[in-house]
Amino acid sequence: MFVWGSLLYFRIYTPPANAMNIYVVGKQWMWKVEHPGGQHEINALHVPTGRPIQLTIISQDVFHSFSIPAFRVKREAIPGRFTSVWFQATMPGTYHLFCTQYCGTNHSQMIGDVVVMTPDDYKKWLRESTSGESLAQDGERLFASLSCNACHNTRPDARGPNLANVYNSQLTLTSGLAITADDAFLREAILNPSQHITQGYAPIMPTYQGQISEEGVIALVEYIKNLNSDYRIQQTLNTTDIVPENEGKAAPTTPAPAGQKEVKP
Amino acid sequence: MSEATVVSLPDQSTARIPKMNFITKENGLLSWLLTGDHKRIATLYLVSITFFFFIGASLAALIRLELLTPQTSLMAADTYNKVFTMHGVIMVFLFLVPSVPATIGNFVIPMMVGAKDLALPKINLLSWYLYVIAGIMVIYTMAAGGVDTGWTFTTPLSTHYLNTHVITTGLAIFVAGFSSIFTGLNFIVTIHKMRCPGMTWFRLPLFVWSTYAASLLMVLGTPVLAITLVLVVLERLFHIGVFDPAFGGDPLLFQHLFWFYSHPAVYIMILPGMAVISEVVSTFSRKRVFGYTAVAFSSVAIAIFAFFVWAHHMFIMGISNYASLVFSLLTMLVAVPSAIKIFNWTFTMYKGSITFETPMLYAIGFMGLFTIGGLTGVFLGSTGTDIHLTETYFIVAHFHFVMVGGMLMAFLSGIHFWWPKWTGRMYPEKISQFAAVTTFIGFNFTFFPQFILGMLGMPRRYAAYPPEFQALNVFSTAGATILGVGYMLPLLYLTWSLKFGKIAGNNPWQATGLEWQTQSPPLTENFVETPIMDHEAYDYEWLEQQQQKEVASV
Repeated sequence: MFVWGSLLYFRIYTPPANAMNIYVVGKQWMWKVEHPGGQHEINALHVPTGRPIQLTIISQDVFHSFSIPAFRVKREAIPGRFTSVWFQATMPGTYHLFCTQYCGTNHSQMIGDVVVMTPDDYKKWLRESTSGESLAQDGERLFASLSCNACHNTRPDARGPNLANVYNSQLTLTSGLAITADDAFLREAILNPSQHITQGYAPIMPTYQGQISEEGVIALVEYIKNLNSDYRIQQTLNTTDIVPENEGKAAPTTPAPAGQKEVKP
Repeated sequence: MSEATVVSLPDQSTARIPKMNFITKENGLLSWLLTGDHKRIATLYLVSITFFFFIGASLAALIRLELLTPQTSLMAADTYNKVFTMHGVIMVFLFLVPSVPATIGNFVIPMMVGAKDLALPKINLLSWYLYVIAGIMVIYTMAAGGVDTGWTFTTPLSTHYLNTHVITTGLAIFVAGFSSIFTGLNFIVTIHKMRCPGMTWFRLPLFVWSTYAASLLMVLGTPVLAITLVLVVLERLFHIGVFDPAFGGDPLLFQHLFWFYSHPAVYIMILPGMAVISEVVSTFSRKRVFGYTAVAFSSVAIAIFAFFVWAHHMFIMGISNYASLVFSLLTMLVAVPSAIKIFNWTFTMYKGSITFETPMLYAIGFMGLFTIGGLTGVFLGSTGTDIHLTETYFIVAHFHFVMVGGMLMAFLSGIHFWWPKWTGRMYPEKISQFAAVTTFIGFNFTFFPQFILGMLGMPRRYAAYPPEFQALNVFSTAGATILGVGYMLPLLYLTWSLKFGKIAGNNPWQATGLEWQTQSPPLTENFVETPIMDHEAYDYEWLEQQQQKEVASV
């Protein structure tokens, strides 16, 4: 019984590599869902059948807990920390979505629907409900407007590390600690940079704690995750001046902004 | 019910309550309020605990009424949140934790070990006063508008996001914690130092062993809760940044600290319940408890394991998968000593001369309900199933099966069992048997549907819920009504029996414990002369010989 239970547990909390990642932010008292293609939903989650879906969950205020009883998944949404869970839906339909950790007055109103669609319906839904910008593009805009690129540029004399391909790479911090740059690390490095200085760089980065919302951080993280070449960053630099109108300009290298079908981390 | 009975009452026409006993020794309010006598303090506890039990129970009734309909029809969501919080706080900290140890334990432990009183009578009185102060603070909180954190005080909700009376409640529990630390300390010292001649560790009644294990938990665990609550209060007042991520704190740290106490706390609650059951099962089966040493050490084993399982409350909270693995395994190990007890009690009953007086009915109820409660605990201890079941009504049902089905049944069993000793009078047997059966039926109607609700995924602490869950909730509320009747009855007939009950005599149950070898109600000094323990615990042959000797000498 113990072995069986533990195997299940490890399976539920270890997402497969090919999972589609969707971000979920819990706040008093709603669930905000951010799809990589830029679709935003409140108290609803649309997913296709037949694909592993990974949810990366965080809370903006207190503990919440993201629960879909029909899929047997539940994960705490913790302030200041990413958690994740995955599932693969098999039957189209509408299922309950609950907050199961007591979170204050309207705890019992923090419920919604998980809508499972066939892949074709899902594609259609993605097209119809896009906000016109992918999550990574949102992140790109933030990256520019917060002047991150003043330091994190690809120039040889840059004051900050080059962020191309930084996601999932091994870093050595000034403290000597070796660490993998995963979602959690990127988030911490943005909000609490002085504790996360990569070896060889000066601790000059200001903290962005309190300046960006959790959604903003997610957008930035998503953007950094998708930076796969120096060329990509330079393009960001070039669009800095024309931030408001940059829609579509970064399109060639932003992964699949139009089809929104798939975002490979 | 068979006609067979062990009850042997003295001839009612000549029997008198002994003129000199702990109740009649002194009169006046002050003689009670300044007493050092463990039996009087136990009585004070009994009255105050019953008071808080009925407050907590009325809050439970409100919860069940609200959940009759899927909408928030009876009260606003905020009110509902306050009601279930106050229900939890009162029931856990003001009823379950002190229930058996501070009332029954206080009353019988000195007599069981053959002592005149607890080792530190003034500390004992102090712990009652601390309890009362805590109680008053909780009542003040309720009057002032309540608190809605849930009894678990989850940070940062409790530290920053609520404007209710978190501080007074936190401090009330802090004070109640000291009350329980002092009680535990007193028991430990008494059991170590005050045993009468001949009373070796392995001649102690199992009640004493179990309460000893619970006392260890009180003394070692409660300070952690006290610290945690002080940190919550400081965080609220001065934003010291221990738990709130916005100030660099770690909200998971609170969970670790809180459950480091609150998991052992459920063993503080259940061990004294098990203590009662050991006595009752042996007495009404006329047999020595099967596997005395195994039962004794299983209590200690539960106490030790209790400290190493707290993270099973946090399987879904993003602790490392490998930590979950270890805690899951440790959690399942706790099932072993609990199962030892259940099996040994069953074996005690096997081929025993069982009679079904009220305490035994409650005890059998305990064994059934606790077993269900314990086994459903394995589903929660198993990490994979925990993900689905935690934070749903499954948890609520599991907890109530163990705490209400287990602990409350044991408390009522113990109250009925020692009532003749306490007051010198019998409770009315037939109606109390009826009450015991009513409680059992009502309990199952109330909480069994909640297991199913949990399996279906209904989250707990919801003032409103999706309509498809209504049928089972109606079921549960209906059961709660029956349960309510089951709890009101003892209050009424026990009060009635204070004046009109039959005279009980020294040993109506023909039980073997030292407390039954003295008059009822006992003298303030318990025994006329210091008893000498010259036989093993639960030695019914010894008891028979004693009686024959008495007959011979008369």
